[in-house]
Amino acid sequence: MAADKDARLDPLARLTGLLARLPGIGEKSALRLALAVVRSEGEYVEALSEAILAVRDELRLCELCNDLASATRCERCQDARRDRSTICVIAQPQDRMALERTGAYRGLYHVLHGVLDPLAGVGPSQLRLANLLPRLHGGDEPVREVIVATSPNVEGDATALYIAKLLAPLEIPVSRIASGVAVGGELEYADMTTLHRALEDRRRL
Amino acid sequence: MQLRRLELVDFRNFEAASVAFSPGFTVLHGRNGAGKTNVLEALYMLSTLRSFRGAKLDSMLRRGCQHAEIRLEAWDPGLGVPTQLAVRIDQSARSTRRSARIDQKLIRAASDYYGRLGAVLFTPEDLAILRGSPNGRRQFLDRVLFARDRAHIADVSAYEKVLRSRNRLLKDAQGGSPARPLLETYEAGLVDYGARIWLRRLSLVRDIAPAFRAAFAQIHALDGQGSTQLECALRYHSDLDADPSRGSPDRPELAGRDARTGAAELEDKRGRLRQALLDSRSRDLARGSTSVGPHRDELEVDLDGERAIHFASQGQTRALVLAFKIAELRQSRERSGRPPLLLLDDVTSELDPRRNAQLFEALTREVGQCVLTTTAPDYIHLPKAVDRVDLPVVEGRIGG
Ligand SMILES: Nc1ncnc2c1ncn2[C@@H]1O[C@H](COP(=O)(O)OP(=O)(O)OP(=O)(O)O)[C@@H](O)[C@H]1O
Ligand SMILES: [Mg+2]
Ligand SMILES: [Zn+2]
Repeated sequence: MAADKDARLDPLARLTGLLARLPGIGEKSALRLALAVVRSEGEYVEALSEAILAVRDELRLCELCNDLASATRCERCQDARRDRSTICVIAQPQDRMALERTGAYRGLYHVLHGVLDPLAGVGPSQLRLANLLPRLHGGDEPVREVIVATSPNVEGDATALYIAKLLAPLEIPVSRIASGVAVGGELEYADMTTLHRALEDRRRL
Repeated sequence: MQLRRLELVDFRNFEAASVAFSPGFTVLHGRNGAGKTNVLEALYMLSTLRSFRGAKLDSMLRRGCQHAEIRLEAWDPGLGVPTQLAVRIDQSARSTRRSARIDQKLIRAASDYYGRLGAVLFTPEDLAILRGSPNGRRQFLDRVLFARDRAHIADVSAYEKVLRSRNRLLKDAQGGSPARPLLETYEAGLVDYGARIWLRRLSLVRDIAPAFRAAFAQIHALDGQGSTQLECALRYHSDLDADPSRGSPDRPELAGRDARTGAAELEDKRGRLRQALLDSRSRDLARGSTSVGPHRDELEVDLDGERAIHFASQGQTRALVLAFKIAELRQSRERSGRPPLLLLDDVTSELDPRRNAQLFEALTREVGQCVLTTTAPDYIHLPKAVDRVDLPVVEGRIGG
């Protein structure tokens, strides 16, 4: 283990290698980013490393909705003006960001951090579903509708249907956002008007 | 769509090549490996945005190139103006993508592109379909359907994925039983996609069956065996069809396209599929895979009351497959009001001169434009009245 430090790559190669591990970043872009960090001026590098540590140390998952939060509950779950009778189930935090940008939705969310995909080894127990049911009968205000906004592909369809089956005994209407989103497309990339319309045209599952 | 000129840039073995088409038959001839089939592949790409060889996009880029382009100048008889179709393949570090343009305008949804250039393809491999695996025959039907109903592609690939997911759940259960709601979730997917696939294949076979019988009789007569007329029949078989006569192509009242009948029939298929999946659950758990559904269906071809797979001779097999293609041509013409483009790859290699002259006589009655490949143009005997252009394909060049 003593030799570890000597075996380490030079700082630029190390930063490049670490950046290249991020999704969507290839070797070339990683090098470009690393060089930009090298050339950066002022407090940028300090601010960047602080921010990176802060997302690790200060961010956690909201105890209610599993969304990213800097307190026990996220901003939306704390916001008294939001409609607590509607819950929108989504796969990832970025789907919430896309839906928020439409401005058409004022309810709360539930983030699964994944979608069902047996072929990739993702079953119900790999999703953050356990705290969804307690929200539906336990809360201070009754939930009147659950909207499932997973992407319209095989995995998203299965996830939506599974949730509908799970909630069927509770007799709370479960709807799915409609296919304004291109078939097989990803929610995250859907443009705002399409998403807005899809939300309005949601159908009962 | 009347083809006028095709340009290829860094596509397969062509760096920069162009083809000027005959309004009738364009005969591409050259030695083995000259690139004749590549030209048909390019035209098929313009029609369906896919390779008929099932090739990956990357393999269509000329070796060492990152971009390829296929451009077609054509005449749009409906609008009465020239029109241009173009497909590009672009390779980047992350992925290889294709994009399509109509008259320079980028088409974002593939469904807006399909149907612009209707084409029917016939390759020597098609001859193996009748004697090959049931899966080959299902894929054969699906390929025809891809060209007439684009939703079919999405349904087929979704069905396959849901099927693999259910099979995985069954296998992982290892003697136990997977959670009911989870299994039901995937069964609901199989019902949705499966019923649509089933119904589309069934209506295709129903639509095509009468023309198929007529075309077979014609080809068979051309073969000089018409005196002992053999009856042939085409059927789509599913084990879930309770009453086999329901699927019969001889029931014209069922071939109607009435939307209400269609919806009722789809509901009927969904019900059968749902029930069959439920009934077969314990058996499926034991074998670790799904035993019912359109992935187990068969395209049956009968000759003289016997299954052609076991019964037909080499020549009869060829006649049956050709009859299917001619039926597909007629059907496509009836649907769109125009004869589709016919692409013939190397079909004549095993025909004697008289038969092949008769074949082309039959074909000229069915098609507008045809592009075909051969190693020697002397093999192609076309009626005198037909417009014909012979183009040699040599080392990445087409025509003189
Ligand atoms: N990506 C590619 N880049 C360069 N050349 C290619 C590429 N893909 C295929 N080829 C070449 O194209 C040729 C095959 O072309 P094609 O299949 O059209 O031949 P053909 O004229 O139809 O021959 P045959 O008469 O044997 O059927 C081969 O020489 C092959 O090396
Ligand atoms: Mg060839
Ligand atoms: Zn929250």
